Amino acid sequence: MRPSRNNNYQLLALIAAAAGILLLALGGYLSPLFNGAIDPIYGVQGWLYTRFQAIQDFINAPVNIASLRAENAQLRAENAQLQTEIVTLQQQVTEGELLSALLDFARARPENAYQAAGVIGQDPSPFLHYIIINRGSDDGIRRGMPVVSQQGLVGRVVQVTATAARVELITDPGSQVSVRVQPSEVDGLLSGSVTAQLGIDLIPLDANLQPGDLVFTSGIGGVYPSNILVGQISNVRREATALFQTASVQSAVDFSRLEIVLIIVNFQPLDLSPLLNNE
Amino acid sequence: MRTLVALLLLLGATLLQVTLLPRVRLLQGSGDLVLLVLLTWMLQEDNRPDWRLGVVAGVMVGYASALPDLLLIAGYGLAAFSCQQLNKRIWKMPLITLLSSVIAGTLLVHVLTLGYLWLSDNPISPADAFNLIILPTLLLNLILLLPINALISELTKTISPSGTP
Repeated sequence: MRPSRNNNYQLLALIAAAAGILLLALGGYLSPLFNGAIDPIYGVQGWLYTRFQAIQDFINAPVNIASLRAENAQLRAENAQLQTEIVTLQQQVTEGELLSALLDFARARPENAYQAAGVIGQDPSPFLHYIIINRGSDDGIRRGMPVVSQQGLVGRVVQVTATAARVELITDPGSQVSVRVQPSEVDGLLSGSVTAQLGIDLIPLDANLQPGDLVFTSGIGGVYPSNILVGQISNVRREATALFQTASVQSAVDFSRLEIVLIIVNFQPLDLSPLLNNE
Repeated sequence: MRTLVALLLLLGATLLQVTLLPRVRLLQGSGDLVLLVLLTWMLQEDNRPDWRLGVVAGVMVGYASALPDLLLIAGYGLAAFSCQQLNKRIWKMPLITLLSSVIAGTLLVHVLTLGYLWLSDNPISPADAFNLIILPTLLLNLILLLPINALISELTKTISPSGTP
């Protein structure tokens, strides 16, 4: 009987000791002891892990470099493609804005019918100011039709093939446009020049022109429709001994950046040559 | 083969002349790429100068220009002819022949154009034409001459290495 009772006391003592240790552990009193025991194990584990990782990297390095190079090349290709797409989209945005402006211009003048055309070249001779557009007789373009942009008057069609046409700009030395200056209501004849400067000659001395006055087509002569913006007066020259005054005109159209133009296809220019021949 | 290459070169030069060159201006003058390609091609050692190439160049430019075809055919044909004569009779120094051919060709084409504009009741002041168009064009032509000559020279060597005909 005695050994059995002793065993029970030992068991109770063990349970009490275990419960005490558990309570001490839950209370955090044994943490320094555990840490002290576990830290060397962590140290050994870390040392082993870093060595193993270094060996693994050494073994796998060539494969990684090859895959990284392939990935780099792929990313470069994707980058180049995206850059190309950005440029294309930017061009489309610019073209869209231009077309939108042209549409606004066309809507503002519903009496006219328009045909849009792209500028595909300029005259190779520096003496002449002509452009070549990508619409021709197949698209209903005829000789004499006026050409405008969203900014104003560009010129008129002087030669047509099936798929292209040549346009004489108003800045050409041979170009003459009947114009009216607003608000003074003075009529004049606008001429181009070698330097692409526009000028109005033969203005009566009593006409009151001011820099900034707007110049529109007058429609006189039947070559161009009336009320198309040409530009604005930039300079007026009056000389005391002269019979007329002259004015320089700043064109509303930037001819160096002309990309898309509108041709007024329902305008019939008048042919005055029979009348002129009878003279 | 050489003729075909020359025609393709002139065609390419004409296209560039219509699309690109008018945007590169000095005052109102612009380089005459067709004339430069024509003359540099004619004066390459391995090529035989032929004034008829000038006529072809005139036809090509005439197709793109509002000036009369005959005027341009005459202008470029005379420029090529003068180049041929200079090469044959006066000097045998290629660079000087090239420079004088370009100067003579530029002046010929422009003076003929100016004369035509005067006759067609579209007069341009000779002083303006000289100062604003002819001189700047001549200067641009001389600037463009050396790189174009180098390009054409390399091309000619590629077509016929070691001077084989």
